[in-house]
Amino acid sequence: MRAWCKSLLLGARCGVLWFVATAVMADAPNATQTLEQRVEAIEMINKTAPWQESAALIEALGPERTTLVDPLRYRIELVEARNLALGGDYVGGLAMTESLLARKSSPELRIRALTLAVNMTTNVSDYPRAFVWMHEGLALLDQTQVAQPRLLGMASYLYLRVGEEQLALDYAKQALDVARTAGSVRDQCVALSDFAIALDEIGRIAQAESTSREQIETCRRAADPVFIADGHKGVGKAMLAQALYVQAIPWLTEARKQFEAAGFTSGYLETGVALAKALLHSSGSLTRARALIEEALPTFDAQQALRNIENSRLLMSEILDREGRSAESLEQLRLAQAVHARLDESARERRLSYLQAQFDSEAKERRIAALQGERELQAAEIVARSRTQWLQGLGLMCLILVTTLLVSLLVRTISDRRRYRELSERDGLTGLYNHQSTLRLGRILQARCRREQRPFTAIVADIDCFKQINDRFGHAAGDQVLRNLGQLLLEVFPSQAVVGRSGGEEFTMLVDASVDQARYLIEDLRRRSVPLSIVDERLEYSLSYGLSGATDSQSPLEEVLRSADMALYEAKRSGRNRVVDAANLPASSKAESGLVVVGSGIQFGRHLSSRCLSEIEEAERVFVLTDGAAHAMIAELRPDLIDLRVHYAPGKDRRQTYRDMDAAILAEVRAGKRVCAVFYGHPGVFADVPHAVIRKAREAGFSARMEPGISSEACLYADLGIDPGRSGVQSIEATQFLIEDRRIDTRSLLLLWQVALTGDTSCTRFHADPEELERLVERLLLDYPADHEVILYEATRLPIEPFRADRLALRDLASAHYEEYTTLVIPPCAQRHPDLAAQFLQSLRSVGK
Amino acid sequence: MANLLRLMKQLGADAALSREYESDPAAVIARFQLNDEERDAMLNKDFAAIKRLTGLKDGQFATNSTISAYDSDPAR
Repeated sequence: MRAWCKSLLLGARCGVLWFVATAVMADAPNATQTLEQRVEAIEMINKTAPWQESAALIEALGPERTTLVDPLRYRIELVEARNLALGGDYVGGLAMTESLLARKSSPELRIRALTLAVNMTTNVSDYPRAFVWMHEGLALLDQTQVAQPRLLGMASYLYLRVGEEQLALDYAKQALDVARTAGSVRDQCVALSDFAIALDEIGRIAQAESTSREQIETCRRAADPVFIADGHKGVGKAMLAQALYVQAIPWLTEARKQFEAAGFTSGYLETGVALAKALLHSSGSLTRARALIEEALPTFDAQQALRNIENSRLLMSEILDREGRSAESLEQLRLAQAVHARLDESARERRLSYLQAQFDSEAKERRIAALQGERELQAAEIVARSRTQWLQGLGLMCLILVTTLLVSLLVRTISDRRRYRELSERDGLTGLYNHQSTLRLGRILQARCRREQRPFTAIVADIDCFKQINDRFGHAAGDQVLRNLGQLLLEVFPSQAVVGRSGGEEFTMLVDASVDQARYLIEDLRRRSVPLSIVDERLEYSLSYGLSGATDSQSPLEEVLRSADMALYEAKRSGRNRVVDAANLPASSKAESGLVVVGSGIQFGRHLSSRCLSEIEEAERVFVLTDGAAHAMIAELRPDLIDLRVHYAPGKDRRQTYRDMDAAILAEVRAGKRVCAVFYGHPGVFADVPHAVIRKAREAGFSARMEPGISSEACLYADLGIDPGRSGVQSIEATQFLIEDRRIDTRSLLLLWQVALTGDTSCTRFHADPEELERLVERLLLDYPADHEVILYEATRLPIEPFRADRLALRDLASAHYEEYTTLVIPPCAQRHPDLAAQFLQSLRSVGK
Repeated sequence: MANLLRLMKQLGADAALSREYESDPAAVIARFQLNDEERDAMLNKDFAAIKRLTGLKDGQFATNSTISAYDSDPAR
């Protein structure tokens, strides 16, 4: 029988039982078969008949053999490799199988080659290579749709050999499932055999027995006598394991008979040993049992089937002991132990091979995983690098774009700023420099002249009687005069000169020239100045000029200009239309600097006196504290006016505001300027700042005076038709009236100013307080009857608006409407209520303090 | 605004113009080239609007320099 089938497991069966020849013969090929059909027939016969028959059929292919190409050639060579092994040439068989594995093939054919390689290496105890190929084959199972139960069965077998029983059972079960699902009846037959062995190995005896019974039936349908016999042997061994020795005997006897009939000696002998055990334990014939063992041992020894040898010797030892042949029994036991030691050694080697293969496999998997991870990492790096490059490119593009935009914006901004700066530096009407720019550029020019030791002269010019021009010809004509003059100045004065409009009709020219050269330029300007034609009229105008050379190289520009201003003032004073050099001014003219405070009246156009207007026009510096309309009107005359309203701030004590105003005005006075301060109404009536600055300026040695204006009180008498001379007048601020507990002469007219701010001692409130108004009414009721008619008066600030003169009963004052400038007018009344006075005054004292 | 201010100034200063305005305000307004808002305010005698347009609404001037302090002057 098969000499190479030496590795028997537990004496159960040959591991390569599947390629044992059977008596079933395939039909001989006929001439009408295609080459593929003939290859299929050869494969079938190779499975079911002695290998020589398939070898003969391959030989019979003759010249057609050389025409074979893959996959038919591959399939024929697989059969030839198997036949070499079946013929005992494992080296040749393995070499041919390895050469097949080196070629490309379909997953199905490669699995078949790997299964064959595992089978052969197992049979030659080359477990390391067996496990490697087994793992490769198992890994390929996912790539094929063709059922491969044999490889799974081989896996089960290999794992049993290394003691991995549960794995062996799992693979055997998988092999059976695959065979049942997609395999042939013979595949199922073989798979049932593998499954029964695995069950027996892990001790699930009853299930092993039933599986073996099923195997018998299935293998009968597959007409495979060897596996039928193997099934009988399986049932018998299961009964032995259950101590059913008597019952086991007929199954083992039948199996032995069937193996013999099939010519499978190993199966025949193994079953004989099992039968001997049944006989020994069932009080059967010891002689028969010993004969069965003695029949098998030589073959087992020849095959080096250690497990079978050990089992056989142990049984022999027991039989000899039963026969009273103790010495011989001991000898058999010793031999069995020696074989057992070799079995252990062999098992360790297999285990080590398995573990090494497992380790290699896991290490390989780890390496593969590592390589895979490395590859994924590289891919991720490539993606990241690509993304980074893309982002860098995008960022670069954005940077370029943003830079371009920024540069464009910068260029535009610089251009705009230059343009805006030019616009901000220029006077809109004439195109000349404005006052601030004139000063700035003048300082630069003066510094250059100083460095280069060149002369520097300031010229201040003013159009004479410009107001009359506006009044007579209109503002459009006045503007035209200014424009023409501006153009003429630019034509006459050299490009290095600074030519500016200081405000209104005043011009400043700063030149790097001597006073004589400047005078020459002025004369040239006067010669070229021509009258304008306005409709049918001739508009002639003249200018007055003040000149000042920088006699002291260290004189600041402001001082030079102040001297030129004084010279201009002298030119105006001495008859206009002339040029005056500051160097020729009498010393007394310097006393002209100082302060004049003027009133704008309640309505600017209506109330402003000619003198006040002239003061505004002629002053070097003009401060203004009026309503918005008057402010705007003054700004037309003096664009360089200084707004005193900037000193107000929410919550700021008005007294501090007033002192700040004082300081601003006095600073210009001290600088030697002719200063005009314009205040609303009459500057000396209910006014703190005008009186304060006049007093302080005088204290500092400057001339200071006040020009009166039309006050609200003056308007009151006019509007209400009241003659204060008839009854006399008490005129006082409402809060002061209360706080100081002024006595009232009810026969006189009583005027209470700023009624809305009654009771505000903090000097920060600008609205009426009803409670304080109630207090005021209570106080007044001491002297007047509740139904006494009073008047809430507001002078009109618009020439087209009627003044306010709301007449109401005294008792209703608290609920009336008030502006901050509303005045309470209480006509005379002879009555008085002395009985209430004492009580109210008492309470007022306690509150007022 | 400048034309409106000029008109106000002239109406305050010029008696003949003031009388003309009382009898035919539209004609006077037309000469001073007011814008629509200013013209409507004037014709409708919308004094609040006129005060706003001329800057008269800007308060804190009547009390600007008035004065009485009833306790010690912090700056004095």
